[in-house]
Amino acid sequence: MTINSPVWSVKYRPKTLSEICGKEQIKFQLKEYISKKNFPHLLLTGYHGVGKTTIAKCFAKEFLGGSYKSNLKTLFADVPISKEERKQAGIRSTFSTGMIGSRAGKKRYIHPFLDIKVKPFVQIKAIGEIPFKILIVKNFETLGQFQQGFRRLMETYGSNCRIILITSKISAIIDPIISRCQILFIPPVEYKNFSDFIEIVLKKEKIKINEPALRVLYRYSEGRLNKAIDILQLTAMISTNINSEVLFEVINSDRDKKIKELLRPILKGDFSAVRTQLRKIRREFNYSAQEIYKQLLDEIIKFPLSKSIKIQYINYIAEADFRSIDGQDDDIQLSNLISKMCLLSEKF
Amino acid sequence: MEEIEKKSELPWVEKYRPKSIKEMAKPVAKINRQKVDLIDELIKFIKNFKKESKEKAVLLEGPPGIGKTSVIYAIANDLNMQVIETNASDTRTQKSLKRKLDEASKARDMMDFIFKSKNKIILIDEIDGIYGVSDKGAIPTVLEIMINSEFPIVMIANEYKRSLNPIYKKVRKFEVQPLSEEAVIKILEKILKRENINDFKPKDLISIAQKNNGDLRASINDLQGLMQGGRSAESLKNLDDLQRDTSEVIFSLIRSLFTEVKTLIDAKRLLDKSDVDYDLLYRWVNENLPKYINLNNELVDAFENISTADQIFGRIRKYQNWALLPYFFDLFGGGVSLSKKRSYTPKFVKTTFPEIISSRIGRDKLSLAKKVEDVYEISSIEATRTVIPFLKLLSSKSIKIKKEISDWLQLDSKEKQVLKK
Repeated sequence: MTINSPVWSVKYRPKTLSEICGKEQIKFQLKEYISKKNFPHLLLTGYHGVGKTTIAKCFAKEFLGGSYKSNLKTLFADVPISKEERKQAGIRSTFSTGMIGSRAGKKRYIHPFLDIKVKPFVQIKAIGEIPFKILIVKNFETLGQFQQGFRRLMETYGSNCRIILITSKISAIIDPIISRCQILFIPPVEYKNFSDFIEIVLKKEKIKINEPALRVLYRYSEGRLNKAIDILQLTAMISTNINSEVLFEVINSDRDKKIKELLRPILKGDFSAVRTQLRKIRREFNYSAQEIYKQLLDEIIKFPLSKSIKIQYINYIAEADFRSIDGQDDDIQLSNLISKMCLLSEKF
Repeated sequence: MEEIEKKSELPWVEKYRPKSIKEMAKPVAKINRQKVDLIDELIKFIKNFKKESKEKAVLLEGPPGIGKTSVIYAIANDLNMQVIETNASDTRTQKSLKRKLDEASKARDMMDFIFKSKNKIILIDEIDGIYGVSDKGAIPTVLEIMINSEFPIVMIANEYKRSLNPIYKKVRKFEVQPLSEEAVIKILEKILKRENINDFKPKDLISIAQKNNGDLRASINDLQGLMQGGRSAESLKNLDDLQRDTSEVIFSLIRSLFTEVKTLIDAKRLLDKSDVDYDLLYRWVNENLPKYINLNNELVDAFENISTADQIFGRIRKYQNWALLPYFFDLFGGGVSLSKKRSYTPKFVKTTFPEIISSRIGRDKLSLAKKVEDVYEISSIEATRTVIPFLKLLSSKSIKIKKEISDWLQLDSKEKQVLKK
């Protein structure tokens, strides 16, 4: 399914640890774990898109060998729990007997994510000649306060199942979890490794790219290979001999730039234009308001503006994010935010 | 004589509330999709009720105004019984609910013995109004009362509520169906006859019935409004108003909110007059605000107000504190329209529907997202945010790659359409 994929980022996705480009030290450490057939719970952290999941998966598959299919599971902490799963959680809730006071005898619900997705996997013994199972949890930070429940699971079932947590925001992970894990920071790929890897793709796909364009690609993708290969493929559809000009053409149509493009009409103070564009983006990518705030924040910090104005903008974003907690309609809070931003841009 | 005079002041809905089931439009109900005769079943349930019987309560569920409450009162009247009613919407807390129902369901008071008084039916109206933090314990109370009750209990709800699940499990649920247009018209005609009104147009009755979708109570109210409004040419215009699409009402409302309102009281009156759902209305205001206000500083004021209104509305919903509602109205009505000071409004502004943008994955994208999820081994969120937009972009570049992608993911024609968009 992956080798003959028409999408290059899938086709050239590494399948073993050795195929992963760069990150020698981490690879060395993980291979050490494999040879010793043991490792602690892991916490992989690093910027979005640097390949944390790929590393975790390759490592787990190699560690478990042939029996990985039944002993490896990947979960996404940020995916909402479906109605049926919620129902199941309701059925499985128990009457508490140990509690006293007002909570005595009340029904106790366990967070459905832990109860339905995690527990059934970690409780069942490993199959085959391996010491334990492996559970990968992506975007772990989104669990918020329910990380506490995870801590108990890690203790109770630790000998049966090792857990690899993946997060891009280590600051959002609670201390008890951090203290139970070996933390690995996954750095973005270096330019040398990057160009080597791209070279392989270029040869196989019979396209050419010149040195400055490759530099642009590296800078724009911020060391994220997936992203770089996606852009490379899009560019290759236009021309097989890639230079910076063609590359820029593609980059300008890229999704990540969409939020950045909002800044121009904001600085012009054109409210209606911003609102129309913002809604278009939200409809296309199903962004929640919170994600828009986050991305706007990132872009504003990077944008060349005077410090005081930046701070003012950030103030507005923080206020809007806070209001969204209570508010019913995200569109209203977003409109409020951009109207304030537009007014400020009018003043300078 | 006095009594009759008094009666004429009553709203028609009360005046013509059926005294007996013979006067009623017979409501049809369903149990598990099987049609049953609601009145028969109810009478059977009430007549056969004993303290020892297993079935202590039934639940009637259906849209408002179709005679759920009336049928109980009519039956009680026919069987010479007394109805003890609690509206879950006014006695909401556990304590008050319990006190009221306990008194009725257990203790037969002194008077009962003396007068050998009527048997009772306990009617818990609007049981779906039980929710929120302050109502905690109300549902267990209802369950408890159900077990110990000496009298038959009838519960009435408008819609399915998940929080009522424990109750659903214990009772038989009748889904009461809306009345047919013909039935509504028949009753309206009867009322007109008894009011001695002959110069009406049958067409009016039909349009009233159509407008209200089987809601008899609203139909009678509309009829009274129309007939007692002078029955002149003006009243026909009123009917036009009734018939008019709600969106048109909102159009004109929004327009006057921004162009005619000069004071806060004006705004208040305008909003009071309309019967549009406020929940929807403030979204309309949000949508159309930039068309009437085009100076940035005034826009900021307006949005500041509507955003606070939105916050307040959220808190109302969260804490069930409806006392905050006046602030909400004043902020999104008056607060917004009075933010307009120097903005120029063009003569003709096209009012548009509020756009609803959800961060949930649309139904059209769902099956494609599922396939991408499986192949890429990523979550559905990531699939819609990053992979599907990329696939769209890629497949727009050439027909060859589009075919390759759809072969690779084994897409059907619907999913291909999503990629095209």
